[in-house]
Amino acid sequence: MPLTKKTQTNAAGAEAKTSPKDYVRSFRWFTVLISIAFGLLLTRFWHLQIVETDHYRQLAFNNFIKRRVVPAERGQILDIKLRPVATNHPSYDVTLTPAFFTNSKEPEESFNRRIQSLTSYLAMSPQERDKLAERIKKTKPADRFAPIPVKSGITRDQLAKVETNALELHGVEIVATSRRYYPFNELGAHLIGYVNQINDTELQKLKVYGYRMGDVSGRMGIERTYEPILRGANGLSASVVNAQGIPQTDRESVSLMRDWKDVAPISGKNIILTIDMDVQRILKDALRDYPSGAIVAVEPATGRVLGMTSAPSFNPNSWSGRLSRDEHLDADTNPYKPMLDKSLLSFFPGSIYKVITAAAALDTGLMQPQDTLTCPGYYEYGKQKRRFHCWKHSGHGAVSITEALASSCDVYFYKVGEKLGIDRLADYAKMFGLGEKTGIGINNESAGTVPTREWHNKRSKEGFQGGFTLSTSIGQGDVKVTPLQMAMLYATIANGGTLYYPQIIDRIETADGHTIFSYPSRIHAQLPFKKETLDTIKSGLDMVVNSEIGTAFAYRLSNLNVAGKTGSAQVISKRVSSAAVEFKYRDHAWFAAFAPIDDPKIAIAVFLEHGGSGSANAGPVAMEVLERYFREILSDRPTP
Amino acid sequence: MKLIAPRPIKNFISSFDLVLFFLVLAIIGIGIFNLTSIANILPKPLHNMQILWFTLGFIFCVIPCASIDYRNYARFGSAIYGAGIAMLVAVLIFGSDFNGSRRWINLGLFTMQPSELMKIALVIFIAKLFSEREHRQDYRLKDLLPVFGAVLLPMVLIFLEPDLGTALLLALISGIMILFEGVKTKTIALIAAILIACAPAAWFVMHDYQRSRVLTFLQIEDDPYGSDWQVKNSVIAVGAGGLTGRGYGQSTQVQKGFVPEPENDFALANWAEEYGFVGVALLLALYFCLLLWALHIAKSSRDRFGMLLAVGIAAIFFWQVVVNTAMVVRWAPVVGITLPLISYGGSSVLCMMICIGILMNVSIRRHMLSSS
Repeated sequence: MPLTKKTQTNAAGAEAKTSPKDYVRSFRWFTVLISIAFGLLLTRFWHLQIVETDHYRQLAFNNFIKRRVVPAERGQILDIKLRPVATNHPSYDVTLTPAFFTNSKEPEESFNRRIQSLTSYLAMSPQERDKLAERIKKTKPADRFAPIPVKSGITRDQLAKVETNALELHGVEIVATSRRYYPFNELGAHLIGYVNQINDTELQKLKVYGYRMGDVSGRMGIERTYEPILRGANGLSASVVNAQGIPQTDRESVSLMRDWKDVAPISGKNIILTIDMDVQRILKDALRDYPSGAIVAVEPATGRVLGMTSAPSFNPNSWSGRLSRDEHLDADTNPYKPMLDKSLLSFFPGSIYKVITAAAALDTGLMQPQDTLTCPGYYEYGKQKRRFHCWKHSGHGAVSITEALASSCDVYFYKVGEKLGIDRLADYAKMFGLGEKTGIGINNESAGTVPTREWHNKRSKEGFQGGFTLSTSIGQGDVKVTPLQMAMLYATIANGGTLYYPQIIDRIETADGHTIFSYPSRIHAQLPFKKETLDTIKSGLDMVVNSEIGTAFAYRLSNLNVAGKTGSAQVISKRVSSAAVEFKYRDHAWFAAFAPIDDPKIAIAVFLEHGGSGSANAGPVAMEVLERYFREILSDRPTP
Repeated sequence: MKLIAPRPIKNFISSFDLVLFFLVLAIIGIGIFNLTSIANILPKPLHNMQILWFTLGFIFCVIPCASIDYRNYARFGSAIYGAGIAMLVAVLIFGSDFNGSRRWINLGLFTMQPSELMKIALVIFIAKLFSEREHRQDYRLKDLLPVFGAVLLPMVLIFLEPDLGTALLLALISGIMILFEGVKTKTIALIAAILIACAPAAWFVMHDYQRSRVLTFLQIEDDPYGSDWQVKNSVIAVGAGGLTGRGYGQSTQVQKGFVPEPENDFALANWAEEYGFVGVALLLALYFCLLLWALHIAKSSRDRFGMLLAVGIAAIFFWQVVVNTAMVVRWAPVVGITLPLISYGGSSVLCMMICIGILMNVSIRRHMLSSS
């Protein structure tokens, strides 16, 4: 346009001595600036919308699709009478989403007021309230849309209060979950176990198996070992939500999910135990006077575990939720160690081990049933004539092997043991499954110790010494066995020489009661003994209870033929009366038995940690268990 | 002082700038269309209100501002500037608090944001200051001191509201005008050095939330106010748009409420998500044409004042478009600068219509003056 030229001569623009023509450079750079700025912005849009668009589409998708894991119901654990011993109860948890609960524009007091009312509805302490307020305030912006737990397992009352005040409590949600529940409380707690939430470190390892924050995992017993079977597989569902996390159900929103398909959860499998909780109760009752100990009861004909208990026990319901301080403190400081499963820990066996020495003596042909040895009350060993005393200092006189078992004569077994040697004794112990885990599969059972010459040489500088053989032959020295091993050992004697694997699970079923797998009884070993060998030992064990010289004669039952063996294992080098010493130096009391002798239905091992005498203390406990087992459990069957 | 008499109405109509009119109309159309697509997620639909604002703006801003001979703006330049300053002082005293800052004056019928008007008042005043002197291409610092004073005073007042974004916008707009006049290279270097030296001082007068916005923008700090989370969602919205967008009303990011203020500061995010790169390129092209046309008006204007006025208005548009767009794609921190003619809001719309009116005025006068 020629306009600019004209203006120069035109007086209308009077005050302007110059014209836009002088600004050519300025116009040029302003145009360039605009072009560069718009060009740069366009490259940014190009990058976001063309190059990276797939990435951002995915992010947008993740924004409006809220995936929710549908937790699988954990499998139940049932006893042989199909009573649930570990089951699930509905539980209501309260969560809170900081982004919706807080409002940056509101004054501090109104936030505090809301926290105050929420925590008072839930009956939370002022400390818990302050902790919660702190946690909400400290939530990182990136996490502000993730719900944080406020309280789990609220009562019906609290639920109602929160629900009626829902309008006031933005972002507070009640989540229906399920909580593990153990109807029998302490009964069989070690065996059944408990569950609790996995921590961060575990989460890292378990992520690949689909575990998420807040998931529980079995911590002990069956719950722990059979975690993969009990757990099941979580499902996944999704819904369209807006930025406030509120589900959108209109047709258009739902159509955004396109071909999304929900994945249904698969419930965990139910485990049916061989255990009868009524037997469990009998075992627990029998231990009532003893602070620490264990009883294991098995079926000799199958190796099925009828019950196993460890004292003191704990309440798995407390351990599966939030443990109170007191309970935690108790578990840590209780000298009787309630969290240890003593049925699977190893201890000195004492005289109940003498059946091993007896079996070795008879099977090797060293002794015949009618052969006798003389007990003067002591045995002088080796060139130094070191005296090993019999528990009966006055001596037993001439005793046969059955009498030696019945009266628990130490000298007989010293003499026999010395001739057999420690390694031969160990061979026989191992035949009976000692020195190795029984394979019950729970609570990291101990293998126990079966000392050999080599074992002693490795263990100390002095190495093996002859006296060790004598101690070993009467179940002292370094021998260690678990109550479960003893029950299995006496069951093997009872059934005529079949060593079974202990079995605690009868079968596994789906949630709807379909049997997936039935466990058969499994034979560990068939002992290659002559029939007379075990018969002789059996009659020795019979005499323990039923002959006047027997150590448990005083506790025999009028209506039941019991065979067994007492054991009082020294834990310090001197045998002393219980009352005189501190608990931890007292003898362990044992009684292993089976009944009835002719057709054994049950074999048990009673172990009283530092419980005193095998006959006076463990004997009555064992007899109570057996008596009640036949009267209450097998009452419908004819008792011999 | 007498008003310069208006020219005959016939002349006015024949010289009406149709290019400017249709460019503006196209952008406004996009803005209103954009508002209709998010009507369902707003507390109440805003597109009809926006149409009303533009209509009012056309009648009460564009027509009057275009009719009065712009040379009157130069005459009353000091008064306009003074009125602007007075309003800024008034807002600090009488203004209503909103989100912790005082930016608004309640006029009963509607609220007004004086800082918006100040942008225009400042452009007029600077144009007046320069046009009253002899033009020299090589201003030195000493020559520019009155101009700096004129810029700094409203900047400080706006900063006190506090509204850091608009305060900086004043600096950017006047910067264009000053450089347009021509400054000695040495002086530019000197000013730059002074600005850099003052930057740390600015840090200390800033409010906590302002610092935090800068830090989160630079990704130095976590985002305690959640504003960065919102901007990241805006970027997701833009990226999710792809080449051609997700279609009308299909912007999940905006429709599901992940993008803040989709009717206002982040209106572009909705447009970008629904119409993709094509839509964005179209809109930016319209703005680009508008700016080039404004420069064309400036270039062909009869006098220096008219030219500087048009350049100043172009600078307002330029910076607002650039800053707002950069904010939406997370190239600039969130500073509350609206997208001209697109963002919803009476104050912003009326202010932009005044700008268009002034531009129209300069455009019309170049023909009318030549034909007289």
